[in-house]
Amino acid sequence: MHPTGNLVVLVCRLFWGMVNMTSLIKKYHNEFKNQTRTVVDLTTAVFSQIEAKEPSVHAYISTFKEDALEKAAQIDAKFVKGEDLPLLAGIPIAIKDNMHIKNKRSTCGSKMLENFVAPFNATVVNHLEKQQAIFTGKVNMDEFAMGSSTENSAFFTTNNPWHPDYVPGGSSGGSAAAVAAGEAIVSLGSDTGGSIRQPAAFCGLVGLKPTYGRVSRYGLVAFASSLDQIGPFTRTVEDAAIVLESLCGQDKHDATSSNQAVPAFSKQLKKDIKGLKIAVPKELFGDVIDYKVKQRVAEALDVLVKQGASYEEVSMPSLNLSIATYYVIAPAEASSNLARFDGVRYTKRIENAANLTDMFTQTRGKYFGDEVKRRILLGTFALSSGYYDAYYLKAQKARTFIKQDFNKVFQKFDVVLSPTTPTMPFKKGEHTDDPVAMYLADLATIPANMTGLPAMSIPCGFVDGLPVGLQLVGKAFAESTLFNVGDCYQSVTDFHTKVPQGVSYEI
Amino acid sequence: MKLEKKDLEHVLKLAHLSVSESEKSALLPDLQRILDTMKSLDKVDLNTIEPSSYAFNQEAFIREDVVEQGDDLLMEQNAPDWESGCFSVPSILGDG
Repeated sequence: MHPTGNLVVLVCRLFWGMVNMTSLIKKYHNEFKNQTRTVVDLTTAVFSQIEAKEPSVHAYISTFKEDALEKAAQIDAKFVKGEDLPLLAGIPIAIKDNMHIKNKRSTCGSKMLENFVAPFNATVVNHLEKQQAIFTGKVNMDEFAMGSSTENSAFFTTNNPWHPDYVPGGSSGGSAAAVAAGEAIVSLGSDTGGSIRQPAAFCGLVGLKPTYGRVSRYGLVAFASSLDQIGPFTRTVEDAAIVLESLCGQDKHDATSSNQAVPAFSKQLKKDIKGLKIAVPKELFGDVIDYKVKQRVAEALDVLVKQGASYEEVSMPSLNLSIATYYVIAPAEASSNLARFDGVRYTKRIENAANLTDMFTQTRGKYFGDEVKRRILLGTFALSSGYYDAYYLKAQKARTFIKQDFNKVFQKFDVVLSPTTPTMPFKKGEHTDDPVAMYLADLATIPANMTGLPAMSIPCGFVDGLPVGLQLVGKAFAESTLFNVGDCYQSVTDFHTKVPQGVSYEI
Repeated sequence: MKLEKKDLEHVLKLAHLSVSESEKSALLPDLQRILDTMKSLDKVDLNTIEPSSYAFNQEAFIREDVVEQGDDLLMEQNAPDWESGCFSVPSILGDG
């Protein structure tokens, strides 16, 4: 597709030995196991990086240095005793501030929950604790995960570690920035319309939204319950596979969690994509996409073709409806989910309310930010008497239409490939006065939430020093296919090994 | 549709949200522009298509109906006004 494709593969092959490292987690695990490095040493290095980079990055809302070092020492003692520990044991992981860690604050980037202390662990946190991972802290996000730039955080804006004038993407901007800046080895984010994949693309990382139901949402503060999924940010695809393995499984606390068998994703990386059939939807390769982004993604497609895949351009007209569909369904669900923040249970209440209704309305008016208010109003409107059929019901039908389009494409193809984002990372303040322009950032990522399909963003190059992401969408519960394609791609490219100034690939 | 101030005020009431007049002036054009983007849904004939509430039609996972020891919900710490095991709230009917 692009003449530089051959060159990319050739240059990358020359450096095969340097780029072949596809799991940092395994590398650290082996070092701990062989006692050539201690968990305390890695954890200390990560906190030194946090201290060095936070003044310019602002990824963290809270950090847990003391707890982390104490746990690191305990894990070191187990490695010394020769215990066989899980791969994530001793790996420093940052958690988005909408997932509960018991007795720590979960602010959701909102004034409403500024002082809210989580009464229990999210299921994903329990899974990571079982794996003996180390929590570095809680990271910044757009308020209640509503946004695409992290500028809607009620506390501060996170900067893109590649350039401080640019946004890290959102809503999981803190999760992406923390890993990109070396302030964590792995992080967890949540993705309702692209909130893992878009920041992963903007920060040069792998970001995975698993199939809806793969990962329990218990302990994740709900935004839009039929769309939300938790997933990892990592540098490499193999690491994303390792982390996902530990997060999956049916959970009695989440009635939508799936009973599908959970494969050992990281053991199914075949390093071979011969015969893989890729669909490239023209709706996500047209004028709506910045040509610089298209160029990098086209080069990546060439690499995959060189590795034995084939592609075909397809038409998926329903993709033109995805933004409108999303901005009815997600706010409608949010307006219901956020009704619980009423000044009774969750820390904030206005002073001297005349009566109960005043307390509800004024507390919500004072402590919710502008974007949250917009979406609550939009959702309430779409569900209100007289407008339900014209907006909510129509959007639910459009959702079926999008699902039908993907079903059709997946009869013939294995994955759908597109840019993750329509544009390069944008500057802070560029879209803050125009909510509709901000919403367009999710153009390519929303369909996977509407359909529940697994989707992953992979770094596929740079333009003027800023990263570009490639998105792969797979069949339901076929994360293995995405991992296999992504891992193959990373075995002959080195974009994932590039790091911003002042950051080391290996900490 | 054209969103009027009275529509906004009706929705604010339904949503239990109180905002200032200047916020209303900013919200009205923002919401209007967002609603205008919804027009794309009218370009396709969706009449014969069934609506979806979820991505998949998976049966909900039902757990055993047994009593479990719940977590301490930290109400004393988290609730703005917690007195002797109860939430305390202002009078429902107004002053006095």
